[in-house]
Amino acid sequence: MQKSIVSSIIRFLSGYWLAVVCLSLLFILTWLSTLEQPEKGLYVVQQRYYSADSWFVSPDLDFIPKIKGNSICPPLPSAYLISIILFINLTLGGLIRIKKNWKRLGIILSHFSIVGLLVAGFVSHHYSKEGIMMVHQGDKSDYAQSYTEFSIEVAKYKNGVKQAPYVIPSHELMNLQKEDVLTVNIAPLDLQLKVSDWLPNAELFPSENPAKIPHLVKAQELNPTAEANQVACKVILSGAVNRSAPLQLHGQLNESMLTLSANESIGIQLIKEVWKMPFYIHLDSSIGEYHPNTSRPKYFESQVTKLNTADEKQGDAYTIKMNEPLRHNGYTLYQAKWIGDTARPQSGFAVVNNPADQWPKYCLYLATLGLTAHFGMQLTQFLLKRNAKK
Amino acid sequence: MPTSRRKISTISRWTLFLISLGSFLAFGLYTMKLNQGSRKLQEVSGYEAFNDATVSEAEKMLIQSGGRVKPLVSWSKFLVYSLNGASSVKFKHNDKKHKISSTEVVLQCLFRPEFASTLELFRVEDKVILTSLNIPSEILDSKEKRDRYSFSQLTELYPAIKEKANTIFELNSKDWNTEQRQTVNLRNSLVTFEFLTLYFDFARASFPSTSHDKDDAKLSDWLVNLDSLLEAFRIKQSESGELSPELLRFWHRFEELALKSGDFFTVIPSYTTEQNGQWTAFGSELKLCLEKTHQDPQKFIDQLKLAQNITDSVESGDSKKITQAFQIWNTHIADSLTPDVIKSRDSEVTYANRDYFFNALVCLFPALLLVLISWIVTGKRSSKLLRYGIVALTSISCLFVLIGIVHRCILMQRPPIGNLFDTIIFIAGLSLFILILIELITKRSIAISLGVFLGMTLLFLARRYEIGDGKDHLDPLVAVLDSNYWLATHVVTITLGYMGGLVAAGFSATYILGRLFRIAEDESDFRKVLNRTVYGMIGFTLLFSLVGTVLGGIWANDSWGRFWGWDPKENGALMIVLWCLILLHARLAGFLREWGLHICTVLGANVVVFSWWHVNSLSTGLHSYGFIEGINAIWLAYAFTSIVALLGLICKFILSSNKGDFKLKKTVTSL
Repeated sequence: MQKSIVSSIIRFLSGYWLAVVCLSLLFILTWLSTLEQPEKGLYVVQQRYYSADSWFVSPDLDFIPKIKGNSICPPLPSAYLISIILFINLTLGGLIRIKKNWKRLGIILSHFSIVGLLVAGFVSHHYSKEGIMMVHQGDKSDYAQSYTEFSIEVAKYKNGVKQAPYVIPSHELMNLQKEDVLTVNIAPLDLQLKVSDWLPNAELFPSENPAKIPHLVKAQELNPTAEANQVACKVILSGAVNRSAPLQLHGQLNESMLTLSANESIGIQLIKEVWKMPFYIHLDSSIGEYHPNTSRPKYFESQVTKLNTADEKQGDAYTIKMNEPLRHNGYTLYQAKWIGDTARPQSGFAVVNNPADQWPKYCLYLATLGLTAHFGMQLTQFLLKRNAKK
Repeated sequence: MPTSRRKISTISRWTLFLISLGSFLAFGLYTMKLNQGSRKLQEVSGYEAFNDATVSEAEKMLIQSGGRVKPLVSWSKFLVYSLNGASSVKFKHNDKKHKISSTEVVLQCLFRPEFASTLELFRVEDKVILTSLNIPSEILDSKEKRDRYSFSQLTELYPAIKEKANTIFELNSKDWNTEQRQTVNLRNSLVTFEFLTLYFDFARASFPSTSHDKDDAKLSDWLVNLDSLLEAFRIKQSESGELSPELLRFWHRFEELALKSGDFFTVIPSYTTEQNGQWTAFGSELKLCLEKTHQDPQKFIDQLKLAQNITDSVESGDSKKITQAFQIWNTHIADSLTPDVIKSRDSEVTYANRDYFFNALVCLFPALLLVLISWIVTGKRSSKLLRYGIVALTSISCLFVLIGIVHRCILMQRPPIGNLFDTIIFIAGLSLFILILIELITKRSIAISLGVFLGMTLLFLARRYEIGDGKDHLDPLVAVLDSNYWLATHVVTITLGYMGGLVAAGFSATYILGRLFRIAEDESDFRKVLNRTVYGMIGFTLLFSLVGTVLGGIWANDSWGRFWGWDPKENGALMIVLWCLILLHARLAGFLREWGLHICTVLGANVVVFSWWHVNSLSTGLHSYGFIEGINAIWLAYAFTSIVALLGLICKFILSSNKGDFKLKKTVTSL
């Protein structure tokens, strides 16, 4: 009895029916999310439809009728949830339960490649991080800054010299609501921070009484271009700094300085999250060109030297170009920007740390091999039969 | 075969023949009206033609535009497309009809501006945009809703058009309505025309001679003596403390001429390495000369004399002299360039004059006629002959397209696809090629007929898109797209996927219409051939779409650092893959049988249209090479395929019961 229940479940999970439903739902989600992008922007749509944070999504499009303000379209399972079900379905049905013979080899390989792609997508989604590193020609850098995620950085200054900062990471902040309060203790600095009034996008403007309140913020609609959003929050500090009035932070404001003693102070700021790399990149030269008499880029190129420490003088030389990134030690650096019309040219490198970086490539080889073998065999069979009939 | 079946088939074929012939004739007349605008040809006066030798020499004139050096013939073609909505201009002069090429139109604008301003060059899509601007009623009443206007007809309105356009520019271009878009287009066309007609004023201008009082000196004469002129200015200023109004006017005239010949028309090759390959316009060079910062003024004066030689010869009206003046210009420019540039120029002139894709379209017209005739011809021998004729004509058309694509690749020094126009002609060429191959295997006249319809639709679309877009699609790509490896792999495979989807949909539409109209005498054979072919084409689409999509992800991973970004174009490609997977798995599971598969495959064309065209009009995403207008054409395509699918659904329900089948048979027989 138990065996039959288990086999029924396995049959259900590995069946064509489930595969068709999953593929159809993925198709609908992809279509709806594409149509939502012009209005809401890629970042918001990604979070709504594809992120691991959302299991269900309610499409919000003008052509979907609404009754009393509620869309008639029921919530749909998110792409993340469907991908998990599809992974189970494909593994059970397309790899384990499928009849294994030479005729089906192409199909098995193709299924295997899609499973690989789903796994690569899962690993990338959870374990990859990306940011931008801006370096002037002649300078070096060992950190990248997130495009969209903000963190709060608290640093002690001794005699005007900044000490290693303490960071409240973005994953603790970015999902906060306006009414939420996050309490953080930084024991080494003897500080307690209460973060409140979190706004995912806010405009900054001067107050009427700058001596008392230097700046005011006003909540804004989320910008469809996620990079343009500037977050804001209030922080109440206690401990080493006892300040009852909340401190207003904003993505565009410089570090707020609070005096501890004659030669010690605390700096606090809301900045795009920074992450350190295990090596330095020295920008030896940064060159670029536009197609003549146009603003259309012809090529951007950076000659860099990879250094293990800040003091190292000699390192490995590399060239980073458009479509030719530098891959080293799990990190990949891409030529993303070039600012050449200044005295010192500047290169912007997109920095990505993705454990599944090259997996899609291997999956592609498998899929091509599998599908070509399968459809090639079908075509050959058809032509052979046809000739035999003649 | 039962006689009733044959009878039904014959009636159906005749019905379909008449409907198709009527539709194509109606469509042809509509297109002609669309191109022609006003019914009457414009009567002009004062037309002096540039002879063929001059036009062919002028076609070779090199200019730099869109980031590359190109012959005037290419530049003119797209300029006239954007102004006029056609590649040539027709008018009547002394009761004789004339049709002048885009190069001659540009020559008239550059060298005979007064005549050019009387030519009805400016296409206005809807005259409603002019009604609020107080256009004289005698002009407006003589025009159709969509018509062409001359510069002289619009001169008085020009300031108002510019002012209106300036208020529109303050809005976000994404929010412009059709009227605003048309107003901006008209303003841009008028500004372009003004630039063109004023450009050679520096060469036409006469000045008082340095030796006597006659106005017979040219700009070059004064530039040769610029040092003495400036010295005279300096002495005069030191003597009286200020320059006389006459002298100031004289100097301002120089500056005005420099301003008129702006960077719109860059015909002077770069002299120095600092110029970084940037060609310049006469105005910029003249400005440098006047400011005494020109690095090689003598070289510029030599070039100026050649330009004056052209304007003088045009003024003289001597055809031989005009041709010679252009020849001298071209030889002089060629001397300062590498042989490769000249070779490429000549090749591009040949490409422009051969008009491969239009010729390919022309070949398909008689092929279409043969296809229609083949539906009503019953004799085996005549059918076979007609099939040979259709295959031959379609093969010639296919050859034109493929040679055209190869020629473009040689000119662009890159793989065949880099923009939307490239995708259309690639899909047209490859679908013709594949359908000819399928025809050679199946020998049922189905694939080749589909090839003719699909080829005509795509080549017509290519022509309309080229004219509507008015941009040179041979121009170089932005850095991130400029990768021959990825263009040759990802872009080609994904476009092959689009092609597969469209061809599969075409076959399924043939199945639905064929069964609906009961065209086939031997229905089981007809069904068998189409079932197999459609299944094969879905497999083809899946293979190329999947490989192309993953390749695109790998390219994105190498360029931007992420494999998948849910960009609209990526989503579109994924949707084609998912659609094919749904069809294949639903078929395996038995959810879709014969009718279901064909109906869904026809709907698959909508998925291809969404991915290929619609996502580009969403104005979002990283694939910025293909933003388009013309959303109405996309809705039309959706409507057409959806209607065919709906017909399929209705037909399926009628034919699924024997009773219904019988009823339909009876109805058709009674006709």
